[in-house]
Amino acid sequence: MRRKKYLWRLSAGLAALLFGPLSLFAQEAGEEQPSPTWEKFIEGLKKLIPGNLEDDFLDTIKEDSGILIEILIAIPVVFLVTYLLTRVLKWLVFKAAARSTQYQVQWLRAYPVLRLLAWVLAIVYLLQLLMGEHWEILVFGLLIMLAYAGKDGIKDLLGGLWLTIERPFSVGDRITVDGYYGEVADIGLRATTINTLDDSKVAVPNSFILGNSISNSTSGKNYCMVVTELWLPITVDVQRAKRIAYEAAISSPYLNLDKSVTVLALDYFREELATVIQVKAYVLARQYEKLFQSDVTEAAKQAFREEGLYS
Amino acid sequence: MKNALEWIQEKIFPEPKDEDLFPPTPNLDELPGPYTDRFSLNPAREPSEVLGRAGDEVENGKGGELKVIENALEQWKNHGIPLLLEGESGVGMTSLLQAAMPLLPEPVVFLEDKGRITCREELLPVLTQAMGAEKAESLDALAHVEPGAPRVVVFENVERLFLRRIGGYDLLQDFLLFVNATRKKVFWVVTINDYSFYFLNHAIKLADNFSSKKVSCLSADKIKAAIMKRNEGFRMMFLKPEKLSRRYKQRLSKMDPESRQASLRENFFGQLLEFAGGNISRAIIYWLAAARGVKEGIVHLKAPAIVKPQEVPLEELLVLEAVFLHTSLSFEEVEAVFHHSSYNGRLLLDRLLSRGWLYPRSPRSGVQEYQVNFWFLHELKELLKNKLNRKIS
Repeated sequence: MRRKKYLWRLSAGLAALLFGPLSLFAQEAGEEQPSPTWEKFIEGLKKLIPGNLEDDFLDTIKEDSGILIEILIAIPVVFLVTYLLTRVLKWLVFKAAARSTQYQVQWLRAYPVLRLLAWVLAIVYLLQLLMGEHWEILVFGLLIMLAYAGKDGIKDLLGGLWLTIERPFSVGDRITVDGYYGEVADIGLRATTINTLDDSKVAVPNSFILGNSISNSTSGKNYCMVVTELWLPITVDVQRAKRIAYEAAISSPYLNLDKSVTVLALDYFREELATVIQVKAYVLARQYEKLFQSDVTEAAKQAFREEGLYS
Repeated sequence: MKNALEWIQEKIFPEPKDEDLFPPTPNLDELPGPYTDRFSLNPAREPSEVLGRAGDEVENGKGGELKVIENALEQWKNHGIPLLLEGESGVGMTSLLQAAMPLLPEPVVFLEDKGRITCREELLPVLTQAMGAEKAESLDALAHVEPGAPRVVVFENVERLFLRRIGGYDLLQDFLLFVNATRKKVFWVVTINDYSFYFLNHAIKLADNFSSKKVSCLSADKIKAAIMKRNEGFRMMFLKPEKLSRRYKQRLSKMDPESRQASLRENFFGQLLEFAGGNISRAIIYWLAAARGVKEGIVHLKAPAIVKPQEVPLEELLVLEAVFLHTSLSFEEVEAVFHHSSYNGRLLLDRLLSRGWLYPRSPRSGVQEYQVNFWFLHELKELLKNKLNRKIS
């Protein structure tokens, strides 16, 4: 009960932070003269700071601000609030995703969009705050953007925006990029982080992803196909081996029961002669991919040995 | 802040005292044996109690489920197709079959669940009995036995013939071959737990061998009537429920003692039916958990609080799934299903037993089996849906 209350308060706080800037726009739209947004911002800031100690200082900068002071105060405050907001959002979304495997993918896909929305709102709010009366800063900003347009940072940023909108993969998907295979842990504005199967974190710049091919084995679904290969002597009784492999797959607790299991037998004539039994099956959730492979291999090997198929 | 609010609430809306609202709990002895016997989980003594499933129409005194069995019998006479009934454990499938007995042509052999069958040597005598033969050397030989007249064989809980491991499906497949070989001379009626059916249908396409029908849950009225029937001859006194909202307590304080008991009764049955979810076995265990004692022909009932089970780690959930899938498993069988080391397997089962998820079933020829506790049956199904993406109803 207490936890519910806590979450409710947290959600109310987040909503206030998100929609606060919007309410400022709404207020201004009805007025003939644009209201001094800077004054409102400082008033809001004063309410946030307990006590009266800082009020004199804030009153001074409210009345006689100057663009530099506005930038020095507004940008860090808005960026800090937005950053904290995105952290809280991330915590909430990941918590919700962990509660239900069924809706995990939907939650994880929602996070980059929510984060992008938070940052867009923050930037729009800042522009509204600073540019309304100081158009020159906009020009200055544009010049900076142009100057850095060719730089990797802007490329990565644009790549991050593209990944968020186009969504060729989402958080939680298993992808291969630049030779790294793993689960997408985060799609940042600059780089995408992948958790490889040996638990290493690899940050791939978004501009790199934009310009290279990527393979996605889950494509937004919470299950994925796993191919397990079982190598046997070329003289093996294939039918018995296939039956064992099939039963090993259907008996695995990690199997997705609603998808079919296919068992194929292939012969290899390279360095050594071998028959490969290939088990193609889906796992119930992508995080069980390796556990499934290991379970099938362990059970099948034991049965092959018991039935004398290795000799 | 919270304390202040509580203080104000107490001043404005004082909470009525328990002794003014509820009858005092007398010194109660434990429930007498004859009373608990009425609420055993064995099949109903009067099978008609469990006729009338949710959504079924009663036609000429027969519930829809009896019509299903009648139709299946006709289908068998014309095409030799056996019947498979699938349903949730504890919804009264055995009682339903017993109620259907008068509809079936004699002789009827009822092969009830007496524990798992693990090898051909154990299966052969069971099927020999089914065929009415005296002795048989093998299943093949038994399949050629000609019974004097067509017969009906009810085989309960067919999931006890398989074990989810390599080679663990052979016995079930032998049984299916036997059913197929004898389907012209025997009307086979096979029952299975709905989760085992879900699994075996994907694994070995079980349904392809039968005409399969789902036995749905009992309607709320039927569950209530079945409980009242078992409680016949005893009056009911409702004590203070374990969980009671302040608002409801205030509503009760405005009633006279008779209306209060009526309201508590309505509330109690509402909770019982919600907990049961159409499952008569769950309704029975709820009743037994509520019954505090019997005195002078009055059973004292206290609605138990339904506590949500603790979070179950994946490895424990997988063990629970395996036990549920087979209806019951021994420790050695759990070990065989998971290739566990004996230490871990035993430890996992002990943990699940201590938390009440499992309970020991009466031992079969010296082998102790464990079963999922009906109290947590629906919670387990929810976990299987949410955590393991199993698509079960």
